[in-house]
Amino acid sequence: MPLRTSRRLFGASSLMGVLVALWILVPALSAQEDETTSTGPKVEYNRYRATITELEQPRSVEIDADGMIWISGWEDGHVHGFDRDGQPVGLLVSPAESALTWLGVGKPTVALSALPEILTITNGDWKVVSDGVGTGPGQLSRPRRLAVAGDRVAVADRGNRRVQVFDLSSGEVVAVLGPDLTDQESLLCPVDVAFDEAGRLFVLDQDRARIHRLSAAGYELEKSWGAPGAYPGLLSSPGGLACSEGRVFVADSWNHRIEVFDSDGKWQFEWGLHAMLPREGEGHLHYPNDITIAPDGSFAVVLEPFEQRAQIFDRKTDPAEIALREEQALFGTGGVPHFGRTAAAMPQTLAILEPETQSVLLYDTRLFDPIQISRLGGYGDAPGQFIRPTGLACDAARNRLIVADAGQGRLQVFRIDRDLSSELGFDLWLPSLEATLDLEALRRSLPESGAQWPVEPSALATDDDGRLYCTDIANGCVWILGDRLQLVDRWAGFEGPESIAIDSKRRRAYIVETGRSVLSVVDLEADAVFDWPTLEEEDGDLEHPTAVAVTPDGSVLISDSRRDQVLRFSPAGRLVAAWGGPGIEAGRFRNPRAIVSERPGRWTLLDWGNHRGVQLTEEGGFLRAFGPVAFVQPTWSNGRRPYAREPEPDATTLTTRDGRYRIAYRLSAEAVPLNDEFALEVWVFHSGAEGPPLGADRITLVVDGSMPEHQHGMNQVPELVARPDGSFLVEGMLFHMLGRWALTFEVREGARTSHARVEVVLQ
Amino acid sequence: MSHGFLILAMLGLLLPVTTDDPPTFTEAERRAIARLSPLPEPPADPTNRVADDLAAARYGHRLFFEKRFSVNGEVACATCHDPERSFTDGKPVADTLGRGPRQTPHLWNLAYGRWFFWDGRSDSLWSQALGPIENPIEMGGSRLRVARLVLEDPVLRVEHASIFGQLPDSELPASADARPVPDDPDHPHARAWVALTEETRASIDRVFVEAAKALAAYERRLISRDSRFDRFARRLAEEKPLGEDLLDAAAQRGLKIFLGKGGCTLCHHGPNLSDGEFHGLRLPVPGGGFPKDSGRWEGSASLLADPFRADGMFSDAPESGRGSRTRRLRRTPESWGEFKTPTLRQVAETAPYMHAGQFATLKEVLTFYSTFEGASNAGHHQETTLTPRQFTEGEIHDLIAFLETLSGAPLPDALRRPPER
Repeated sequence: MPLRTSRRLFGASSLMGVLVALWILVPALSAQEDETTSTGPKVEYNRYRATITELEQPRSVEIDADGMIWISGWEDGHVHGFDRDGQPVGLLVSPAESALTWLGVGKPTVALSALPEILTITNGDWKVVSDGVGTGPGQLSRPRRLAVAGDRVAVADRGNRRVQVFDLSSGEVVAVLGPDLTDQESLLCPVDVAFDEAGRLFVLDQDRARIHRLSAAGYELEKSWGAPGAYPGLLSSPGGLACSEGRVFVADSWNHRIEVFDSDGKWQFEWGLHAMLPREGEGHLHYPNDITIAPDGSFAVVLEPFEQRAQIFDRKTDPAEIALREEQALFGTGGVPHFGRTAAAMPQTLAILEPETQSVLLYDTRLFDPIQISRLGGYGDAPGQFIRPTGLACDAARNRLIVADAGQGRLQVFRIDRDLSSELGFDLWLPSLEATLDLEALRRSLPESGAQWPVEPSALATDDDGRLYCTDIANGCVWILGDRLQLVDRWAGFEGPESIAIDSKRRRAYIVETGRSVLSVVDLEADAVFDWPTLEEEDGDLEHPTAVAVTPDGSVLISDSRRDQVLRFSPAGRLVAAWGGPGIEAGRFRNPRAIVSERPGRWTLLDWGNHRGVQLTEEGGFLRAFGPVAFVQPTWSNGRRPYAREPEPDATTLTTRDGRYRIAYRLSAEAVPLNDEFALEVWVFHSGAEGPPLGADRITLVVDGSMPEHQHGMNQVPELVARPDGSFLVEGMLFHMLGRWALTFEVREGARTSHARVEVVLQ
Repeated sequence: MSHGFLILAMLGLLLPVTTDDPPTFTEAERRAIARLSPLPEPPADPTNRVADDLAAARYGHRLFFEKRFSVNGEVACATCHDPERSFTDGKPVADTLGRGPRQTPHLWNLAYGRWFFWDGRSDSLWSQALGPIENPIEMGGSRLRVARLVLEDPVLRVEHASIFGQLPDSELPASADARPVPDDPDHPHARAWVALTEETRASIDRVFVEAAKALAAYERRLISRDSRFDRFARRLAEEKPLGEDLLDAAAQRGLKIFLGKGGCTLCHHGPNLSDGEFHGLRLPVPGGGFPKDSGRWEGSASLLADPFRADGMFSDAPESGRGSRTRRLRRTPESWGEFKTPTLRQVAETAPYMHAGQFATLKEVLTFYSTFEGASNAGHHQETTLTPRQFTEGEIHDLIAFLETLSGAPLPDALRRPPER
């Protein structure tokens, strides 16, 4: 029976602000009888023991030499200690102001605070090791976790896309690793670090799904492995890692499992049963985000913030037991996608983010149930792909869907030209890429902007004039772009802006700041910025707002993930209604997120914690719940083509989707050959302008091929040569399958990229 | 029209078709068939300058049956690629010195291939031939063993030198086997290899590669062509009466399904009935559980790290198309679990099927494509393009009848039998 640990035990925190750590010590538990010294080929920590529940946004977990479990990231700012049965036994009180988000237990004990800063504690004295927030050596930006080995502490300095190593005795920075590790390897999103017994440093990059091993002496990169995916040895948004007995354990969050490698990156085995039922636990994992192994190797703790819990597992080495579990193991869930947290809508069309595949699902919403009609994206750096898509917005007037990608720091604009008179069908050709804006390149071109960190777009919204508002969680700002993606304005000073909605009529922007758990209102009419709720009304308190939307009459809907409710406020900021409440029943929500309206009088809410979409009446009444997989017959399987296509290639000239460039090309052969290499010559001109073609001094050209229906591209990378006369030669094109291919062109000038594609049918 | 007639007409629609008339082929189908036959001459392989040298092929033929390359002196290429079994061993997975994870592929029409092995970890036929000799579960030998035998055996020595020129006169070490073992530097073979001088290693590699190039010259001649289907396609192209002597009615119906409903030509296209590339079929995992063989994912990594790549120093034309294709290779995790599309020529003779011999008969293969029953879980986040084909029993029967017409004219006896010494 899992033990429930009441938060109230620590609720009256009169000790807050005390600069002394208070340890509530308990006698060390008697040694467990498990086979802690056995060395079989497989060591699993899969014998479920206990669950620690009701954890609010836990950040990390560590086990000290006495086998005590320390969980950081609590609302009260302290670090809570548990024994290996999950019983609360200790409390480490945070120093003033800063909640502790990580605790490294050792001699000395090291902690990471929310400020952020690295602290050491020796004999009750706290000492700050790091040098505040910033980009310089010793400074931090949104650090995630620490690792301690002797007098060295390594920190995943995530916002700076690097790892720093400090010497604890001198306080000096010993090494700054990243963003570039080598010509081939760089850090995009370092979230965890660990030292092994030999003092080698392991770094986990969440967005690249990659692990790097650096030498004990000098921190030279020795080995890198990992790639995104679901098959054994591949990782999907891994959240944490631990080293023990020559093995590297990775909390493979979106695959709901623990992957185990040897220290050279060779895949060993995996464990963890995917939780399939709501709240299912006791051995079943759901979005495990951190793992830690007891120093003596006898047990492990897996942290699952999504379920607000941590599970304790004992070591298991019995081969028969392991074999039995492998047999039971569910590998994935049969390709069933998950709804993410973000959605956007335009009339008749709903777009929902599916983070696990880095995709956006498109639904027709004219019928009773939303019907899946297309999808776009997929993991990668190529045009139309995403690393970590976060924000979605629709511009109904221009048939545009805009996707923000925090991993790449860019925005991609897709055209969704639906022919609503034709038969409903699934069509992967429906979205076509129009333009890309590299926000990160834009930031770098504006050194005076004050935006110091690599851009991480978090949410998008559009207004009635076609302007695009993009929140940036790294720089705490909102980038405002015109309808040609030109920079119009930038608002700064937000803490963790995670959602944004625009009321064009009242010239207001509503911004959810998760850093402060408030809704910030930017009132352009009144030229003022203020927080909601303004009324001291008990029911109106926002506990943890996550998403915001505006109704046609100017009311504001706010999803609150702690209250598990959607709150409706009048334009004046008065609470009008509260929908939902915790649960999975009809009309109840768990961790609700985006709320959008794809047709008047109806709301679609992403009930994220319950893995479903919910449709609600205007008054919040429950209409129906829906899942991600209702789709109709793929159109390619019966030859129907329900949607309007882009025009057939007019001989060999075409215009980019956004009308900026004219592209002319000539094939090396009469037609594109099947499964044989071909080349093309390409000329690019500004639309409507006379003059010579734009050469490599003006533009960057990329030519490639893909099969949208199969969601793959060519098996080789074409080579492009820029010629002195301004033309380009593209060699090494190869379309290896029968069917419909897209020949794609990408023209980049500055931070902006324009796209075009031609359909090539190989029969 | 009387009601009685209408009812009879409706009943007529419900009656099963009992005639066994062959189908007619549309213009589009005729064009599609013309793209599958005839099989042209194989493309040149400039990376192997003796690829089409008759003397090299004769020498390679001898090496193909040579058992002394193996650690126990009992295994030749021909042991598993048995010419009397259509160059297969008939087993679900290779099982010689040890049991392998994958099926022993047949050797038909390798000359048309782009990538070799189920996972494409070689990009030329000659570099493929190096692998099994040193694989501990196949022949268990080493490049040193090969070089020593070629240098010391009077027949091989003369034949080798007559094709490749003067053999190196390096002093070969006393140890029997030496080879690089990248994942186990403490292996005795690896220790013996690093103990050699660079010059000796270069000489051994040279002889090893030359022997493999001769093997490739032989294997390039193992071609299945002029099948009943090819003769049928010729008749169709010449607009002659089709008859039922080459393809009977069932096989002709099967051909129509092959081109149409079956969607087979999506991957099995071109005259060799293969795109030569890699696809994931979510095949059942032998022994159950989740898929563990990453196929092309590891295969492409091995290829990129292979010193015997087509654009490497052992290639006779590093700048050729073969070399540039390897240089341009795009490695993506989507290739996890993908395996090479095999040619369908000779398919009726090469059971069992699939990379791990999952299916014993063509009927089992087609039943899988029909229902996807037993398919392995594609995982949470992986896409699949395949949909069950939902064949009827009759359609499966017809498809098998068609596939059985893809076996070519017999190879000359001399190519199948061991060479005379």
